[in-house]
Amino acid sequence: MSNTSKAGGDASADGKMMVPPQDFAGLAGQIFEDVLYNIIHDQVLEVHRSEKMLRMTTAASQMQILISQSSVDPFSTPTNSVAPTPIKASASTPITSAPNINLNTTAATYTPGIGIVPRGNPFVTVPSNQITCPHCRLPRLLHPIDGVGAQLPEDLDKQYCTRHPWISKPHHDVYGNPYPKEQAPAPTTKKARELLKKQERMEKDSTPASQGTDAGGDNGSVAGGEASIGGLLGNNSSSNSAALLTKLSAVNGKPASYVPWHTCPRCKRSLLITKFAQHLEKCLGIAGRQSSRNAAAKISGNGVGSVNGSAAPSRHGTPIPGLGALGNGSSGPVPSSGNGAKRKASTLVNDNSGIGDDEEEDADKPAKKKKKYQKKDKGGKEEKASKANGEKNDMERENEEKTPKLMIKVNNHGVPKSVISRSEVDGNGTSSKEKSRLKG
Amino acid sequence: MLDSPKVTKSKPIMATSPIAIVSYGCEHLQSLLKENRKMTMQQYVLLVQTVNDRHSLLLHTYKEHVAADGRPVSSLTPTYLCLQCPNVFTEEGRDKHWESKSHGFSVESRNGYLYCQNCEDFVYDPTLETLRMRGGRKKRKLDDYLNSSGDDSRLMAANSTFVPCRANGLRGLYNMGQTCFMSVVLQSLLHNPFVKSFYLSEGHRASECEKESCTSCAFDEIFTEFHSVEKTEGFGAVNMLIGSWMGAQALAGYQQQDAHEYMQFILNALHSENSNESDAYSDDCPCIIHSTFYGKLQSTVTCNKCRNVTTALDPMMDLSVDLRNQVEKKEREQNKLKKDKPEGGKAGAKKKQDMDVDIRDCLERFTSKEALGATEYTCQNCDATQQKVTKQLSLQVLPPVLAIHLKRFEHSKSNSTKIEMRVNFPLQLDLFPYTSRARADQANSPHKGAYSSLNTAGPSQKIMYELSSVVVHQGDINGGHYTSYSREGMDWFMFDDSRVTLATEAEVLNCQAYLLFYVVEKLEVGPAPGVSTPKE
Repeated sequence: MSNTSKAGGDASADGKMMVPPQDFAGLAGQIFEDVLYNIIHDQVLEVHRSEKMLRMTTAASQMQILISQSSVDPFSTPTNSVAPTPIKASASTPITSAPNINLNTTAATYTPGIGIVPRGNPFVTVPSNQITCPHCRLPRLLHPIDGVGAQLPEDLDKQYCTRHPWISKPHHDVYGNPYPKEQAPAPTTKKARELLKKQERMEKDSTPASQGTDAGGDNGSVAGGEASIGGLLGNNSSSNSAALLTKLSAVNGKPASYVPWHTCPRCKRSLLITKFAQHLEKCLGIAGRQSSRNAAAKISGNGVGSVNGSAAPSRHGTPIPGLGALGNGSSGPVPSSGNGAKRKASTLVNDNSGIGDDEEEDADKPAKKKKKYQKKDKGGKEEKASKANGEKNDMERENEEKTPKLMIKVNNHGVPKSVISRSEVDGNGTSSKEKSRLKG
Repeated sequence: MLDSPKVTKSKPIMATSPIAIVSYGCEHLQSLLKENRKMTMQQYVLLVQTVNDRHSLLLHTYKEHVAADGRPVSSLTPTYLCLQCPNVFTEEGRDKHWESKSHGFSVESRNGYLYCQNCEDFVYDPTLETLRMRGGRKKRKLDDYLNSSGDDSRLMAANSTFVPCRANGLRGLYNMGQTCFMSVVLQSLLHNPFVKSFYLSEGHRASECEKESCTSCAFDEIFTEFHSVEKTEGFGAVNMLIGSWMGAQALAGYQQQDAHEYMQFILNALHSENSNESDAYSDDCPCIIHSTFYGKLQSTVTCNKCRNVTTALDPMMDLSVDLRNQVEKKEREQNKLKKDKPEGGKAGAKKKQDMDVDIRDCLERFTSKEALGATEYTCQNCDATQQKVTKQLSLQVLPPVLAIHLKRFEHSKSNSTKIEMRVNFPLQLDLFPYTSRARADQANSPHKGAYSSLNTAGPSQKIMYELSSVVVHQGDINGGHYTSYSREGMDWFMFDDSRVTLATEAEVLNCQAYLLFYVVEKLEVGPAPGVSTPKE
């Protein structure tokens, strides 16, 4: 604390709030110091608050565990094993059977009717390495395991909350996963894809301890290799830390270099996610419309009115599908209809995979779609590999399944026009007269 | 500082075991509340109100006992307001007061935290903390949800699945091929506290939605994925891409697009998918998008001849701020300074700063008076003749989230170029000067001149917004790459497609922003039901 106030007080000694000129420099300095003090004061208190709250919750959840253990409850009695009680046990414990006795831990007291009250200062009673996550009640890691400020936790065998401190390391994301390597040539043919999968499987087999999470970079694979040795040798410190790193980073999931394949919900082809837009353009039949769009952009006039630019879409931006269809039919270039006609003339099949599809497909597919995603998520790489092998069959089967639907769609064919035109009248139609875009 | 926005932003009350909370902040507070609960609470509310609403001079003026005459003294640094008697102390005074009167609790004057003399530390009592965070205002309906009795939370825990602690919504979105314009806007929305709480509270249920290619369902899918699965890799927002392409023909296709255009589209799409037929066209749509992003812009036109004032209100979703004029203005100023040699010294010092433009200048200009030529306006009052008028825009209704679009374009006859200049923007922005009220005040008392932050404006005169997300464009007008920054809790993160990295505040503030999202710092939830009530 500085004493600006005192300086001010002295200055006002003669009854008037006057600052003698010679004091001004010193006063300015003190004001500056006070302002700085205030900023630091606020920041420190903010951190103080969050830290103290964490410790208080830790004390409370430790007490909660004790309560659930001492209460006579058929669900919680079998799980009196280790300190971090599994979540489910405490969750299913009805407090109605809370014990009618006072309970004490080093950090808190429990009194029936009052609840849990911290004992003393949580900063003293709850050591930092005992802070637990209020959700899963596992201990929290206090330092990032990699990158800036990295520190390995003392207890290597402990299970920690999966919410780690963020990792700040160049070319790694917040979970410590390395970035994908730039321009790793993506396999475009199925043959190449299968080959890659085979290689991946081989790598996985060779390092079983890494639990399938080859961290992508050299770090991960080294750690994986050492982990298996570490398991054999026992408490060798270096190998132990490596094993730990692997264990901890195993929580991190897939390396950032992992680029998943995704099945196109329309044609059921499996595609690299990074190529999806390119495929979808063809699949939806909207390729080649750029020219007409550019033309439309040029036609629309110029003007000022930033306000309108943003305000107008809200007013006019949500058209009734029917209205939109009408409006569009009468005025302006409608690229879609022109193109659609062209396509209709050329190939019927193409049209089916086009925009007309969406009603049908979305209407009956969602359940199926979801199943597919889940399967993929759980199955991991092995399943995908097998899928890649059997892919052709799958696709053929799906095509067969699809055929009856195609028939329906052909019948439905007159309808989609309105769908197309609804979207034509989206937000920017009337408003942003200055065609201003930053493409990216 | 930890107040309201973080309340809405804090980790949602998710389906886990009931989080154990302490009943009291410390043992000493427990005994005080036991003795005199009602009085203590009332006194605390009063003090918190004083801290929040009254002039800070009041809080920081104390009587110094050391001084012989006991005249009041004002301090710039924090003071402590005794909870048990109406006295203000410095840190030393507080300790002396404890020795003499044994009043054990005092309230810190900057944020209203409670200090316990017995603990010799600040204590955070759950009951008093809710009072503090509310700024000592009346109990809201929301509290019933927040402080739902133990039974409810137990019921919730028993009927829900455990969400992994890691699933906290920090994941990237894969670039599916020139889709970064979409990813950045989605990330900004994903980390928008209002949108987030809407979707996490099952605001839109994909299972009950029958719309085709529904972007809201796709968005729900992303939220579900981000907040319930223990994965760290990116996510392929395929359904969102399909929904967007089906919804906006102009944005469809394998090509680069403008993020602002996409934002306009997605907000409109989410609005129409989340509102009833009847609401969709009314001015006050209660949907999540309107209650979050829509404000009203007032346009005041004053006829120079008859002084007749006409006002019009327009809904606005974002502010598109011109940079071109700022550039020209700076150039003009510089040229002028160059000519006037006497001021040369000043110009030299200023030169470097002149290249930067501040967002507050842009907003100032946006809401300043503008003279329109006689050909542009017909005054009804002056027998429908064309008159010269003055037009002024101001914010009549502020949205909880203000999106600002920086028009980084320059158009000449032949081509358009991107304005690459740096625009300064603050982490905290006071929007009060740009409101209709402030503009009206200014017009009524012209001698005051421009709004100055130097006047002794109390806290009520400020409407603070905090930066929540920034969308950045790298490249030129025809193509480039979008990245974005978003704040989650106290940390800033950078989203570059599927990559998520930690970012510093300095990095955020130095980036070449294209879209800015400001979230209101404090929000009073009125009794009127609506989506604007944070559901967490």
